[in-house]
Amino acid sequence: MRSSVVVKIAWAVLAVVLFLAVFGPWITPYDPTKGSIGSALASPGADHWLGTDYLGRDTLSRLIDGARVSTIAGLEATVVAVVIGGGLGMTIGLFGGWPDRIMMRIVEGISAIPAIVLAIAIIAALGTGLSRSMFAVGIAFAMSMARLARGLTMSERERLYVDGARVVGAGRRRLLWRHIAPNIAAPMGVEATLIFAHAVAIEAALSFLGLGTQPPAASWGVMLSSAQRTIRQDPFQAIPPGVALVLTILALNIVGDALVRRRRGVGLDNPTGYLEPVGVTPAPPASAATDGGTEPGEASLLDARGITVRYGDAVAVNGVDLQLNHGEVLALVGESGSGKTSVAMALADLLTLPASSAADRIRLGGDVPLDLVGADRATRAAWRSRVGVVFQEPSAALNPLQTVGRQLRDVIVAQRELADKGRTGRDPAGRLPIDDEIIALLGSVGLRNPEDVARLRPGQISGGMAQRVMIALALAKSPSLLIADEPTTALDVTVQAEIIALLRRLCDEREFGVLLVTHDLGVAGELADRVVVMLRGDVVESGSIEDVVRDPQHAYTSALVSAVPRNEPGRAILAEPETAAEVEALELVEEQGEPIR
Amino acid sequence: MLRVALGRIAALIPLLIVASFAAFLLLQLTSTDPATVRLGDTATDEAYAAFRHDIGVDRPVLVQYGSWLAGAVRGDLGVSWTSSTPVTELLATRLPVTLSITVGALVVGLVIGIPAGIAAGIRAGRSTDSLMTGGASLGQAVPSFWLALMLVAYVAMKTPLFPATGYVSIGDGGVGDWLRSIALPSFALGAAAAGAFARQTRAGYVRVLHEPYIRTAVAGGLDRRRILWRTALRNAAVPVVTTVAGQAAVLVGGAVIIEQVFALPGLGQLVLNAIRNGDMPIVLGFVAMMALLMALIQFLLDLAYALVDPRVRAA
Repeated sequence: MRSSVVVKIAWAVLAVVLFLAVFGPWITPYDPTKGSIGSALASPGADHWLGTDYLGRDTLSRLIDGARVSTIAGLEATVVAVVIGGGLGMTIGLFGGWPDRIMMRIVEGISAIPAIVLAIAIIAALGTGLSRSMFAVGIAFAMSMARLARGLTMSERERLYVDGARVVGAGRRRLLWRHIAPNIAAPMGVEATLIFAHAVAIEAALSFLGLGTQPPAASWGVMLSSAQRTIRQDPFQAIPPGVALVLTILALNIVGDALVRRRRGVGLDNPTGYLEPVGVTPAPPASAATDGGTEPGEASLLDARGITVRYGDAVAVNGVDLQLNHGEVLALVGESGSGKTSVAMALADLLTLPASSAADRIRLGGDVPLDLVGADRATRAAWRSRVGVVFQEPSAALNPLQTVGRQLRDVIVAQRELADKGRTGRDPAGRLPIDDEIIALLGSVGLRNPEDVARLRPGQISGGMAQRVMIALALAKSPSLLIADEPTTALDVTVQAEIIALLRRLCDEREFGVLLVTHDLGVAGELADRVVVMLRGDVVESGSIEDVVRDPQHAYTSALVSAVPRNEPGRAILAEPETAAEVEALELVEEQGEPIR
Repeated sequence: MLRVALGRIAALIPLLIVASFAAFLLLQLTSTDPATVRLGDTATDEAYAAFRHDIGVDRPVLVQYGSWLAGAVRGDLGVSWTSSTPVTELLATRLPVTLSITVGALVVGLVIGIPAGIAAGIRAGRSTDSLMTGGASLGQAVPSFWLALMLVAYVAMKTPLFPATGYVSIGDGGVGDWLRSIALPSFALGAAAAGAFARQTRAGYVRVLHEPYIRTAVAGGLDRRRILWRTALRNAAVPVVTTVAGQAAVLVGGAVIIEQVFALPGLGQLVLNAIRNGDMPIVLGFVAMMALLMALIQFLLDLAYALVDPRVRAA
């Protein structure tokens, strides 16, 4: 809200500059180019509001006249840059091929010369003066404009509808103007605003150097040049043109930035990204009675009731209950958008703005039970160290610039520090040296050469290896609850089977409970003891995996069951769809788009 | 690493040839006749023609460029039309001044801009962020030569600490006097760069904090300080490194203007005099040297980039 006020002020400043540029000649109190030596270097007063310069010319009048010069200068340079650079860029972008390669080489070569140096060289060739110098500035900026327009044209050209237009028989020129130009006008307009701002600054600089506007004409740069002559006697004369420049350029930049933001639709509803999880607040008493009839039994590991997750005002998860025992694998199944990942992240205490979550109770059992709802920082840190998370898309979830070993080491060190503070309830005794623990962890997830893998960065290993590393990172915390969010989705089928086998082995070896989040009932059938099916934020069905798969109660579950491919190994548990209800449910799935890949 | 370096050098050579040829062709457009520049208006036609023949401007343009380029690769940029002094020598005596304030400005920009950007980026959306972002916008909007004028009027003339004009080389006055003579120009020039670096750094942090690996780090129990300074900093630094090249170009250009405010005997003064006198070899040599300087900076940054981001090395 505050920034929109700033943008409005910026537009107002530009309106004033434009007004002065157009109506200046009628409102200047004195002739901006004539003065009387008798009143030279007058201080600001009733006669001369902003004083006079060393030739006795009225500073306010020259300032107003300078607005016109700056506007013309900015316009000329921008028009030259847009017409020459934009035209060139669009043309070579449309034609491609060797003209594109040659022109781009030339553009890149000329871009190697700093803009103001190029402008100075052009002025050296063509001579000084406002319009020639602004032509020079326009040419200098045309290079960046050409690159931008070329890139935009090429990507627009690739779009389907342009191909459609070509099939219809539109000529290249018509294609350019009717289809491409309107679509790239907006980003080029934003760039033009920024060029305008640069041009105003460079006009002032070149005029200050004596290469742009020539005295006695008034330009803010010329005014600064004459103020420099008398800077010792009357430094004030340098202030009005400088402030005018700063305000104009600042206003142009603010307007340009606002246009960029509007185009990209950048919202700052979560400025700190994943850094600061929001935690879980106690649910208001009214929402406590959302239980859909199934009576939750005593759960030894995780007991979560009434989890609600909102993104702003939109409810993603609407009062979900989950119970999980030690040694048990619970699958949370649903299509994307069903809220299953939101539940998982709430349980891992990793939800970030704009999400918010509330629950009646989220308790982790064990020797030292923990409550997440309304927990303080220390408790939340302890909670996170007991909940291991395997994220979807392992290659994005690993830091691309650090080696695997480094990332594991950071987690191990962090966990040991937490344990030393007595936060995790874990005994510091019996620790391996860190290097040995890294190797042991990588070995335990089935990586064959752990020493070598530890030295590699995520970009150097395959997706399946990255997922194993991800699992090792989760295991580094010795979690009592492992949350695996779509652990196989980003992997191809053979690697999926390996990761499923690994997770199954880990379930057998370790005493933790697993919450498996997946859209794939086939994966759930491979691993899970029990399954919970979610649809649009609600639990629609839950029970043992055999019961749910053999005899689905809800039409949506039936649809999920029938959507599982049956000819893959290890999925014999799932039967062919037979009943009319299942066929109907399949259609339901199709109507909802493609929930199942 | 060596392969990255050699590959970059191979790419920069055609770039420099294109840039210098473009500048060469451009300066052919001038209406200035070197013979009148040198001999005035009163010489005989034969004398004019002899002079033109002497300096070779009566040859075809491509031949002229060829011989200029052949000299340039050996460090010979021709001779000034007005004084017959080698252009390389003229540039060499001025370069240290311009380079001093350019590098000084880059240091000012990085030293102020990066911490400010980090401070804003890790507190994005809060008042520190608004303050820093506002300051950065203002810094970018203030023309460097006006800031220079203000510094002359309100700092140099009020305190004896910094001279208002002139340059003292390390050889003449030692490091202290040299630093004092370039302090104000560097600050005036570097303020806008600081704004640009601050905005880049902030944007880098905000972007990186939205990467899934930050969530992995939070889940791993790393504390805030470790995440911000170890996990995020290097990733956020990558786009900032690329900005340095663009800023260096702006700063070198700006240095030419700033020199006029502080009466520094740098390249700006040389080239402005050359333009007034129509001394094109100096202008051409200046442009070529700037392009070479930019190419060098780009080269060094590419190496720095490869150091920060190992993916580049592997590619």
